[in-house]
Amino acid sequence: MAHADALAAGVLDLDTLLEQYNEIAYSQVEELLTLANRISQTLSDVTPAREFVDDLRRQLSEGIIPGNRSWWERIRQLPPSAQLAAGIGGATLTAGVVLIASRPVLDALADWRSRRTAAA
Amino acid sequence: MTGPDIQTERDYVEADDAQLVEWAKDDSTAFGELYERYIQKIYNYVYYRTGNHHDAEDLTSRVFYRALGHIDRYTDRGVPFSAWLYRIAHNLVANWHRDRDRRKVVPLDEYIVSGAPTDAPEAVTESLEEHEQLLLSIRDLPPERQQLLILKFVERLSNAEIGQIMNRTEGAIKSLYHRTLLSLRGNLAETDSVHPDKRRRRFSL
Repeated sequence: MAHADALAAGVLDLDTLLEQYNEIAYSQVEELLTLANRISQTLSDVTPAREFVDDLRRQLSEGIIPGNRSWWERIRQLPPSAQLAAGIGGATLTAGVVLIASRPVLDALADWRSRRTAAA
Repeated sequence: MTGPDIQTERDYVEADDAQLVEWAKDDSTAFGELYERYIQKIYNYVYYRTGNHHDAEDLTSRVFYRALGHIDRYTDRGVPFSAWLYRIAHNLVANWHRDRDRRKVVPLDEYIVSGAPTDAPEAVTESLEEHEQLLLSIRDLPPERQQLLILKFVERLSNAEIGQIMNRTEGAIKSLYHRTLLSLRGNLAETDSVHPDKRRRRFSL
């Protein structure tokens, strides 16, 4: 653990650290410390793109929070092709619902017509 | 005193996180200062948990949106603001992994590998291969172990700070760290059994 702290502080002296362990554990400890050293070298700092950082700062300062947008605003953010697909899908769904809902009415109308025909 | 007057009175750069959080509840400049302090850290964390810049940007944005949206409800109950932010990031990354229901393939060419030890092309290639293998092995670890390694080696946090983020004691973090190293060593050894020449290189300083 001292090794990890030394890595974090940037003052690693592996030999000094290894002297703290007896010879039996030495090889195992050495392997783990070397592995930790490699992890430290491999997990290097990454820098976000300047444009991303600036854009996000601007959005945050303007209070633009995507989760707070209405469904209409979200749809307007979609590309035109997605808006068209959403429109067609929405119209089809609505037509289907209307058709299903109107079935009892149509059936009743057909029934009434057939009764009138029979009566005539 | 009006808003701009208050802002000129406030020393945002010198203020500590707790003070900035209080101000940020009705002062966007204070939140901007918190943003500047943590954007790179959160981005780093998310990047290493997702493995690509595109998702790292998306999730980092969501972390700060959520923080901004909930900062008026944040109260310091022994968990500092930084730990609160990391917890948000952790939850969003966990959801991200769950939504995909799979581990995303790491585009290793995006990783910035530091410390290329020599100019010799073959040595650089070997070093890159080792870094890549190590990254893959880290990404095969359970999420909490990945989180620990990132917080320790990328964010350079102490065990106590990591404990606050992961909601564990300092001792538990030490223990988890030790077990993580052992596990990682085991995973690498399995790989080495397939490519025995790599082991010699990896464990020679």
